[in-house]
Amino acid sequence: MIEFSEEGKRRYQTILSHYPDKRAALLPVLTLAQREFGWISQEVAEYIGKLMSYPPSDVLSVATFYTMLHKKPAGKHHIDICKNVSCWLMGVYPCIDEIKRQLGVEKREVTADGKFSWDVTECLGSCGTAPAMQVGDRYYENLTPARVAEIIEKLRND
Amino acid sequence: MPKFTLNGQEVEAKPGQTIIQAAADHGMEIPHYCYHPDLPIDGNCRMCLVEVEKMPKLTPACTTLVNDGMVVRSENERVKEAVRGVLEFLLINHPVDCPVCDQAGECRLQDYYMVYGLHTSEIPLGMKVRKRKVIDLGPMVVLDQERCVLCSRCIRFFEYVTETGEMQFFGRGDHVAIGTFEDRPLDNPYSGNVVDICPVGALTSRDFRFKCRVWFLHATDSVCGGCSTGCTVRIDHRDGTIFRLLPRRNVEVNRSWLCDEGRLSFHKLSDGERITRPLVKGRDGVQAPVTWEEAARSIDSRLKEIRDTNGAASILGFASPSATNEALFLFKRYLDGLGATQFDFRLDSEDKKLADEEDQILRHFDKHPNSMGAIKLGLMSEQVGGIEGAINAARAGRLKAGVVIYFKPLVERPGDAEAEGRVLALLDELEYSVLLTSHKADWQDSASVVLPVAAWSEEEGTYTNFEGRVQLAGKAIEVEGNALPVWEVFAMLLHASGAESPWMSAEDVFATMADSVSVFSGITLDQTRLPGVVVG
Ligand code: SF4
Ligand code: SF4
Ligand code: FES
Ligand code: FES
Repeated sequence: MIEFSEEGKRRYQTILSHYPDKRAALLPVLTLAQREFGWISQEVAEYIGKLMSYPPSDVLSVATFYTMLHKKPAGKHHIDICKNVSCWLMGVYPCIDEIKRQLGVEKREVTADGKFSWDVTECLGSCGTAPAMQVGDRYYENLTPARVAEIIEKLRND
Repeated sequence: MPKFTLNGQEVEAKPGQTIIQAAADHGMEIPHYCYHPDLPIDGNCRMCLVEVEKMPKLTPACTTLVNDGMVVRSENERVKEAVRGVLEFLLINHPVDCPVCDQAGECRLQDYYMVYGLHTSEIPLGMKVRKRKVIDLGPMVVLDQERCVLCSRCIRFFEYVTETGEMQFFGRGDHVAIGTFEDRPLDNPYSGNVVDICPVGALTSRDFRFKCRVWFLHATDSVCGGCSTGCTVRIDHRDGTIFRLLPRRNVEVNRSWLCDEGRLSFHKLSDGERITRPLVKGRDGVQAPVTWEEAARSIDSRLKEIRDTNGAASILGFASPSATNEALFLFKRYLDGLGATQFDFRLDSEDKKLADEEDQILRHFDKHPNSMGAIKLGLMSEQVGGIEGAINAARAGRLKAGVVIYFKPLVERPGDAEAEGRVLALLDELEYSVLLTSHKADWQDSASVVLPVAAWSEEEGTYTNFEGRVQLAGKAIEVEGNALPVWEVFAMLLHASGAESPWMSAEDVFATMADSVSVFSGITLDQTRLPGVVVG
């Protein structure tokens, strides 16, 4: 049986306090769950369902609708790199190749040490500073292959 | 009452009705997938688009309320074009495997394609998004995700009717698929209903699939014999075999639903051998086949003999709450004619269980379709006190002879074997017993006479449900061998006893019953058709 950490439980209560009905808090709670457990497994969906009086099918249904919620294990650092128009024009593909070279895994796979996974996304809303990518809560902008290598190096030692 | 114009005709709608509902009331079906009269409205499929004058765009008929003076068109080119478009979208990833699909023949995709679609698919088969097929969802349902049109009827059924929430959509875009969490089996007692409401072949019946193409089936309107709720059903059968039961929509009783046990209850009928000829015990104590005439003559004379020596109060009439009103009415009339006064039908406090809900949806604890009918016809008496009382009275010698009707319940419950045991005990205690039943069993050796009778679905007749609603059940299947409907047996006995016996059909018996029993007085057989009529 999985459970939120003590800190997670506190945050869960805070999230609930923002909504008139606890079921309305599903999305932020799923985000919290992803932070806590790394991804939304069926076990997590069931746990959240019990917590929030949803059948587990409803939780998984919402989780599978949102691409930012992982439905399979992700690395400690999950990189989402934008492949939409602006980023593409500004040369994101060499950056994607660099990610692949650095990590040695295909998209949606996890590195052997469990540290990294990556995926391509649609527009991150950062077209002005394209190409852009997001790792956790952080944006990295104006990417070049060299900068990508540098960022990954830093995260590796993190 | 708002008045509106539908395809050029001025019609009335009930206040608060949507266009699709009002149109249906006037016999006009607007195409739809997600709309279902017994589920909350969802408006997701867009098949029901209609043109409403002064509205710039087409509007869904299932979500739009009728307003006074509205001008609605559902059959012009603009609407047809839109519906064709919706269908084309729905069919983009459809596997078009109708030849091996059990829904074929009653599939809304096929039907509407023939009326509205008839387009050539632009999508080569190889490009279609594939999903999972033949997923086992428990005892009632098999799922094929590729055929789903994502109407969410099944989701809404489990959300609002059973409130168990098993089914959901997973994924997004063209990868959305219907299913249960981790493919868990649907384990609630009403899961079979989603097979009926799924408009396509995504949810098919584990019990019925691949047994028979639906266009070979004949339908007979009937009433479920599984419990005192008396759900309104349709029996689908072919060549003397029942293939499935489906609900007939009856807002007063079961809406569009059936419980799973009731839906499968007909299988009970093919459990075990049938009795095909009347059997009468000879001097050697062995039952031997006789003709109906012989049986009737011997029963009538034996009962009269016993009456003349021991008094009419020594004759018991023990009815079955599974028999029709007509059967019970003639049963009582015959025994009344002999002067009999002792009647009951309770094997297991049916009178108390009758209105007791097993759940909040449909099922009642009493697993007989006509306990209320037996009560209304005066077949329950405190003096007899159910079967226990009857057994005691027979043991004490107060009851000598008995005419007993017994049917095994179509929906099983613990305690059925004990109840049957009590019938045997009664037969054992009686000096002379006449048993009317449909299926063979060892314990029937105890009866002096065994008469083979029609089981549920094999005779026409009415049943009275727990609230006193009388509903007509038609005859779907021919009885086996020389068995007769129970009412006919008593018509024959009445004739043998020298009384008038003018009935040629259950309908005739019903008419006499309506004339002579005050609770049924004034009702006609027609009134017992959908939705049935409640008697006092
Ligand atoms: S499985 Fe059937 S009822 Fe359920 S959403 Fe799909 S088409 Fe509708
Ligand atoms: S609730 Fe009773 S009458 Fe209705 S389907 Fe079930 S067994 Fe039959
Ligand atoms: S296109 Fe990449 S951030 Fe907008
Ligand atoms: S029936 Fe109206 S939108 Fe589906």
